[in-house]
Amino acid sequence: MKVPLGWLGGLVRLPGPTELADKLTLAGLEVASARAIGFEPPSGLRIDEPAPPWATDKVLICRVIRVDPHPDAEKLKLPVVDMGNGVEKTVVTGAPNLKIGDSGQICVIGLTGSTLLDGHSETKVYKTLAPTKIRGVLSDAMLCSAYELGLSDDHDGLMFLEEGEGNPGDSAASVLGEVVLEIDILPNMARCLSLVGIAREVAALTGAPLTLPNPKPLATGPEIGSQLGVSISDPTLCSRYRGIILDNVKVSQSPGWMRRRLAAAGMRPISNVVDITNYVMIELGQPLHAFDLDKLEARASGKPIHVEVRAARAGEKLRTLDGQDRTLEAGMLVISDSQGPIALAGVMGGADTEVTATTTRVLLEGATFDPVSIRRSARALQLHSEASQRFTKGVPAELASMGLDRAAELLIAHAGATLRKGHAETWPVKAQAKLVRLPHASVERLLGIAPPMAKIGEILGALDFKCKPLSDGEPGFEVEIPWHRLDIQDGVADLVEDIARLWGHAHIPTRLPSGPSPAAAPQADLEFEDLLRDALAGLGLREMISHSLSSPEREEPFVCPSTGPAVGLANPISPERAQLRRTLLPGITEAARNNSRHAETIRFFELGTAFLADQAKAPFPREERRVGVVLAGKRTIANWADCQPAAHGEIDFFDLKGVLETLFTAMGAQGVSFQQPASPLAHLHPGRQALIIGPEGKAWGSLGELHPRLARSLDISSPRLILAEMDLAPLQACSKPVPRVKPVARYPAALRDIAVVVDNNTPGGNLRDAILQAGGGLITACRLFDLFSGQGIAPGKKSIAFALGYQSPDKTLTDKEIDQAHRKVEDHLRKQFSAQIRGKDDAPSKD
Amino acid sequence: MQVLDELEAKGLDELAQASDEALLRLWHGNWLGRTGQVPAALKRVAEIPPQERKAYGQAANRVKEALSGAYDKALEREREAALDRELQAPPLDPTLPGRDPVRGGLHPSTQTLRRILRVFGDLGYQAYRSREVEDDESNFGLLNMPPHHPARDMWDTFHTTTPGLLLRTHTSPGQIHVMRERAPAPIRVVLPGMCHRYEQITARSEIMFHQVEGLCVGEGVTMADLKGTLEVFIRRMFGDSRKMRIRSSYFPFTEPSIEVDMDCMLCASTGCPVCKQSGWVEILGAGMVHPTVLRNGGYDPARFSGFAFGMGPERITMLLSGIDDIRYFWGNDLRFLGQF
Repeated sequence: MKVPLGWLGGLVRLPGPTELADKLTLAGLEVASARAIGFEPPSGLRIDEPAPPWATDKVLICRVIRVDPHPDAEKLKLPVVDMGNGVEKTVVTGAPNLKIGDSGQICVIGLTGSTLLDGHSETKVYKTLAPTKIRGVLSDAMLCSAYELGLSDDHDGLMFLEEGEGNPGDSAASVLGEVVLEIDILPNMARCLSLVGIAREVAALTGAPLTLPNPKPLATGPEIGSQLGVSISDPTLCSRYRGIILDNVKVSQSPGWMRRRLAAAGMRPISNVVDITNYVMIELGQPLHAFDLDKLEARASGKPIHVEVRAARAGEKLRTLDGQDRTLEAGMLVISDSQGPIALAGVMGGADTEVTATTTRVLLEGATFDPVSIRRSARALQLHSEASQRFTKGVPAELASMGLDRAAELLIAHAGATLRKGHAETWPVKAQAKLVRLPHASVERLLGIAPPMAKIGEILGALDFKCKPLSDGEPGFEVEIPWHRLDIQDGVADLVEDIARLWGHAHIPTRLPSGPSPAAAPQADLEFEDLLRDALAGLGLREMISHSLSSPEREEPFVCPSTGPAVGLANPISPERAQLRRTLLPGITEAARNNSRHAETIRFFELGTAFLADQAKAPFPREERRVGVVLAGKRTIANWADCQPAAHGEIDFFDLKGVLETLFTAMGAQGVSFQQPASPLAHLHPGRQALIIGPEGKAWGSLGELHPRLARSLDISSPRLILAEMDLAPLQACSKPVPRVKPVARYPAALRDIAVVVDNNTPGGNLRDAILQAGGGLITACRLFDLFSGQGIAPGKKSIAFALGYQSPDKTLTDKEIDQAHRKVEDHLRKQFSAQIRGKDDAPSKD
Repeated sequence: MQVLDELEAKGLDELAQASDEALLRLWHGNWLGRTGQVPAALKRVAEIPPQERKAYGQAANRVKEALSGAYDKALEREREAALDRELQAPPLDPTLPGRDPVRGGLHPSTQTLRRILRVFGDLGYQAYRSREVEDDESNFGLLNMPPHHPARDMWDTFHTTTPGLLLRTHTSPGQIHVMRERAPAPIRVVLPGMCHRYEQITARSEIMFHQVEGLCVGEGVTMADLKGTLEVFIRRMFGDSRKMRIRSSYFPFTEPSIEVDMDCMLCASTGCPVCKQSGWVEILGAGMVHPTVLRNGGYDPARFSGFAFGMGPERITMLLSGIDDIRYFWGNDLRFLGQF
């Protein structure tokens, strides 16, 4: 809410703007920024539309004495103005609203050296005035438009002040200057969507007395009598409706001070009738609506006017003030007469009964609408007005009559209106004043300390609460909640909040909770994930986090057809973020692609959630924690100190497999294997992929090279992306991050190599398993160190070599024992894989 | 005997020829090894007439010792010489870059989350994770925001196509879950997790962000305990000299509600765009758990009280590391991430 301090200062005496902003901010009315017009901007605040202040001796009020013609230019005039103390000055102007022969106008003059907005520039530029000659006439001052002063966008002519608003020689800032605070009003502070509400807070914070409007409009017109009737069809939707009638209304511009205040408060001045309803809304917080009474009478065709507040019927139509034809939904609250809806209650009036320049008689509405219902229609129609904003947060019923009285007073004064006696009203259920029992101990129970009783009474009293000592003798108060505090809900906690707020949080001591810390079991999965992250980072991978929102198109290539439907969003922010992801793969793929433009090596992992449909959890999805890994690019980056530059290869499947194997070892997960899937996964290269199979036999996930066609469609030409994704829960289930230690071998290991030639389709892993099995526990290391086919090897065959370590925990093995065990391995391989042992079984014809 | 003397002389002569450690070892094999010349000479004692055997044996052993001693000396000399040579080698250029190890690392949000959880871990708080897809009831209703409550406008919400199901806008629904799980036992938990809000993605706002909430429920828990807890947190997280300021605020699920500011570390409180010229930056929101929320969690507000607080690790990381654009966090640019 924009709060012009000149306006607020009429209700309560204010400290300086910086001090005021500080006090309000600490008390829950956060001052987000400030704007200064004419004045120096307050310090310690963000300044909106920063503008140089008006020099108090250079930007002055003056009065036009006469307007002479320019000797040389028809469009220019030479006004002579009185600047006070008998000082006269001649200036040059081209303003259309000052004519030769005019006199008496009060306006603002800027002298040489004053800095004002440049009216001749297309953009907002400040210019410091310097003497110049305009068509041969010296000009060392100028008469200002509202635009040049930064008061409005009005640059059609000079700004004239009204009689009595200022005297020649006064500094313009003292008359027109304003400081506006932008205050964020939180929902429980809805009462401060009015200057009176804010003034009440200021008074309570500073102790300054409050001067509230006390309107007593004089009704000089005839009685309303039976000419107007009002009714409410459902009191839960509207607790109070009151109408008054004003005749002889002269619609024109509202007074300058009112227009300036409204503009400073962010409302566009329109006409006196509309401006006055807005003025009252900002001052008191009561939205009002003015209907053209003649138009209502015409609609009633001579019968008495009857205004009804009721729920709209589905399909009813209303053309609103903004010219839109709106089809109403059942349940929207409308104001209706015998002919149908005339306004959307609390949101916007109807065009048919709008006040226009020719209006002379007005029905003014002051009502209290149900917040929920107003919120619903404002949302449904996307119509959020100043009025609806207030109604949705709650307007007390007591304000309706006060608002009408205040508006009537202003309409009589500034629109020449005559107020009819009486009013038409219905107020079926008047709320009882709420009483809250506030024992002194309850304050301390929440705050850890309590101000003395007298202080509590003083604080609450300043906010208009009425405090009586508790009748049963317990120290404390019975507190009567004033009508303007709709936010008081629970009672005690609300009052304690007000006490803490106004007493100052600085009074509350600092302690730590006492008593033992509750000993509930920590969530094991969080700890596990942290270990996993550390292990992956230790393996040289960088953690990434991508958006959990995705799109069907993005996910489609990466999810297998058996994956259930995604959780879709009803209000996506864009089509690319229309559903919750079911896989981490698109995210890590995109990250790899984007980084490949500047990074030679990419090693990413992401721990994240996949959201999957699950009958057992319905309507909620299963939130499956997963890890995704992507490796790509160069295995190592060339360095001057490399011994073998040829070793820089491109990262492939086995780099990632190595990462995963080491990860499983680090997590203490044993028995994880990698197998070719029965039918290849579509997103991976059909020949370069594997399933990750847990020791329990279930697939945890997959790894492999991104399918080259998919890579092409994703615009990834190089490098090859090696991707993995797997569930964390089964890994966690078989992980033993704290290992059981085996004693370090005391006897030396004997190393023997074995090289065999087998069919090309013999899986290397099977050979390895067979070797370990045949070793009968004596083989403690089996490292595949060589694999090749081609020259020297029969077609369809491959040579594969392992380095074996023979070792016993009990003794040093003799050569004989080792030879025996090694022969057993050889025999086993011959038998099981028809392997040729190289160096022993080589066919004589080949080498 | 003369044979032995000649043998010794020849051995010493050959030893003198061995110019490095490898040749020395070769010499050792030839002369003193199992099949070397000296053991061979010793074995020949059997061919010597019995009366001369003793003398021969003594002489042969003397030769063995003499050669062995000479070998040890030569070896020692050669090793020293080799060390001298190594020490005299030209020095390396220490300004050349080192070989690159592969460096991994954790996401800045993870690092900040961990720091936050560590501080609260020390204060006896356990981490508690709950679901990201929530129902309206847990995200709003049970937190004292019945349908159409105006405070709901404080959170722009992503709704799913299943009516009533939404992406949680804060980790606060976890408060309800943990209370219902543990009532009436006392609680000290921190709730870390990802949240979503319907916003435009700009330098200052994201649709996805982490939140860490804290919840302490028990008998006799007061605002003073909250203040002390937050002071410990701010000092541990940002340094002992940090100042804290408490403002009144509003959250539907706490009453009284406060917002906690810290003196701006970027401009030393002289005013900058980050602190909006105020010298203070907002660090977290907090308050005493609203009686309605306590009741919804299964605690009798007449007997129990509690406090809750919430903060954004990304925002805190931005302050600590001087990051001016929140989009970096999920942009996954190695040039950004690699700086952590």
